[in-house]
Amino acid sequence: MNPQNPATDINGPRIEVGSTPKEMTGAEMVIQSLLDEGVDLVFGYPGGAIMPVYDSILDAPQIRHILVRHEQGASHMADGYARASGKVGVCIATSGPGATNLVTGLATACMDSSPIVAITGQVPTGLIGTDAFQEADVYGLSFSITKHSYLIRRTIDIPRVFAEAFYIARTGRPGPVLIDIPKDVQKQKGPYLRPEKIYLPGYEVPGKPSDEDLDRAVAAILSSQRPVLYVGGGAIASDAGPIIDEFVNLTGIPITTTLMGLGAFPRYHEYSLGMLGMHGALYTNKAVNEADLLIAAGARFDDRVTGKKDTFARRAKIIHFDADPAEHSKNVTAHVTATGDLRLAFEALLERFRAMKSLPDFSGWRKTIESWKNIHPLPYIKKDSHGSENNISPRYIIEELGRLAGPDAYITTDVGQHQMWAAQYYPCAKPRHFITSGGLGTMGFGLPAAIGVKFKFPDQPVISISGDGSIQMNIQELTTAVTHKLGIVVAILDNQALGMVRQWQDLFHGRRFSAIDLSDNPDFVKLAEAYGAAGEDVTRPEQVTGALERALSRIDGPTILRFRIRTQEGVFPIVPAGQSNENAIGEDQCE
Amino acid sequence: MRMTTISMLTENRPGVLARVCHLFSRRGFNLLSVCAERTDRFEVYCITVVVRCDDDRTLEQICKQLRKLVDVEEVTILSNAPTIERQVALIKVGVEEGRRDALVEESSHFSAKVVDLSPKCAIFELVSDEFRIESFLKFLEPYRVIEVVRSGKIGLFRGERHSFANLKQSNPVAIPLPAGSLAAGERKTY
Repeated sequence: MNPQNPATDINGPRIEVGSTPKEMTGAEMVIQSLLDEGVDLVFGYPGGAIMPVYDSILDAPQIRHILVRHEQGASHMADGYARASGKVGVCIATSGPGATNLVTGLATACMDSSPIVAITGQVPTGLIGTDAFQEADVYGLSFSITKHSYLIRRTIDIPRVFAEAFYIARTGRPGPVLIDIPKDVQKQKGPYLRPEKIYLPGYEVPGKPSDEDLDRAVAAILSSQRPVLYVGGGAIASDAGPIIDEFVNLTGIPITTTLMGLGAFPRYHEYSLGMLGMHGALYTNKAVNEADLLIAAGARFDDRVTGKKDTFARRAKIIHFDADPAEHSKNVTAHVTATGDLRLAFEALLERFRAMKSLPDFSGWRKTIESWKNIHPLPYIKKDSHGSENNISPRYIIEELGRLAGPDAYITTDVGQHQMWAAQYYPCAKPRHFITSGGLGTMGFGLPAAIGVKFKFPDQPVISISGDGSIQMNIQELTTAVTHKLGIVVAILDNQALGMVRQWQDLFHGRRFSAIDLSDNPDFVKLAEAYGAAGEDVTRPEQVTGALERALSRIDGPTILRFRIRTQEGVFPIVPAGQSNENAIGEDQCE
Repeated sequence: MRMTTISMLTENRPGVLARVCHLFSRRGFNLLSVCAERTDRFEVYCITVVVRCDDDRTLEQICKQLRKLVDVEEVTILSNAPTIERQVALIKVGVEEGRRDALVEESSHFSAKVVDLSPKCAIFELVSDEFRIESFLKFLEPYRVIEVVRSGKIGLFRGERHSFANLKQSNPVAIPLPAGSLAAGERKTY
């Protein structure tokens, strides 16, 4: 312990303070802590147990508070803000139901390693455990869905906890941190002791991987003939995208990304194989299956990527780069594991390859993959999967959107068929520009995430691609977008059904359709108008371009575009869950 | 069925034991026993768990996931080397006047101590490894065993070897705190 400030109490004060501390209430400390972290935007919803904080926020004009319409919306907005910017997103809710409404948002952020700090009010310390009004043990609830969490018991601890929370959220493998503050702790006064240093003896931030591991990786690459780089969300979280870009261009190693890794490398670059896994193109999965070396970077061998684990990349030696050592050997055992920051790792690799007199030549291997690509491309764009040009093809909508929105546009998605079509066809070229709930698969993520992105990047196009099922799980946030005149586009691919569930029932449950009918959807155009947004119905292929152009040019408020697509439309290829990626159903086998 | 004893040093902060135990259910690991108490340093807590785990990869995952918890400083597998492992058992046995002396006499072979005596009952305390406790319980089978309570395990490596590298480290490294997105000196005030 620091001899000047010996830790005499289990709660700290493990802090070093410079000048004479200012006396303030706990709520004021919360606001001061946010200011000290450079926070200028928070998303939240007030209630009884968080009212002192909401009172203090009025005195801090530097912090813009966005009143949402549901706490889940606040958590996804903070998440979208964080994923697009790389900065910590902040959301605030009250105790009890306010806090439990954040749970899905925290779990979403945790699965996708997104840095957010969630602040919740709690009943006064004396009432904790008494089943008081609006009491919920959100601290206990948070254990498995956050990177870390705090229940603050003393006002004096607030600045230290906030400093730790923001540090933990944004460093290493990022993740959500919850801070639960009882109402009496917010009201009591104490000295504001902002720490200059924090003590987290159990917390390590990974640096560069060891030279031995890097040398082993380089040796494995040099001795391989058919390498594939498999890049996940870690590459985006660590801002390694540009370095990986250089590495790929230098070495000529073909690269596939996971859903979370989309944008880490330009989708239509000649070395890009697009997304792999359950809905990866046949040639992409074939390349992974035939590879003799798989270089995994910031990816965690998720079941949607690997299919049946023991058949995944079965001919390949595996190198696994990850910031989180617990990801090594969790799902797949790698031959070479390297723990460390991905950006530093690829900088070091790049340095080693640049120093080489002659580089390995993988052009033959790329040509082989190219020939598979010519035999098994993704299904044709313009037609729907029935081969007709009279109906709007969801693939065509995504492609047209990519063309019109441009490379600076941010895409968010909900979950289901539209998400996979977006992942397959959107020409995403930049890291942090494709924002989707990959791990948890949270329907209702897209609209609030898009709002969070738009607050951070008001001058860039922000489009939420959604489905008629997903959009109704947080459609209330349309109000938030209208109130703040956010020019976001919500493209609903409306097939009047829970399309992905329907597709599984079609293919794997003997066409016994259960609980998937959404033909009783509201009129989304009228709904948009009722919220004060613009709405447009798009029923024919030739209307797609004009509708998208009009929506993208609207800057003073959100637009809902409802694209009517066939209910029977399917996402292909598809690997049946739990089967080998070699067993992909490539052709359209829906009715 | 393989049992492994894992010992960890954690920060002595509220909720740390709950968090550690929660991890086992969250990740589907099999937790058999838990024993936790402060160490010689007030701010450091030692939690020892016994897990059932039949393969090395899962065991590695358990240790890594534990280590990943922010409050957990160090994790060590005690079962990998010669150790002293101890647990406490308290056993209440009903015994009539006439047989009591013989029972107490024989129990001393197990190093079991009588810690309470009443006309019809005796409470034995046995501090030992699980094997001796098991065999003592086996020995007591002919008697009327009324209640048995056992603690979790604690342990240390034998000899010079430290179970934890940093057990005696008294000055953890401080992380200089970056001042958010604000440049130093231009911190906004409330």
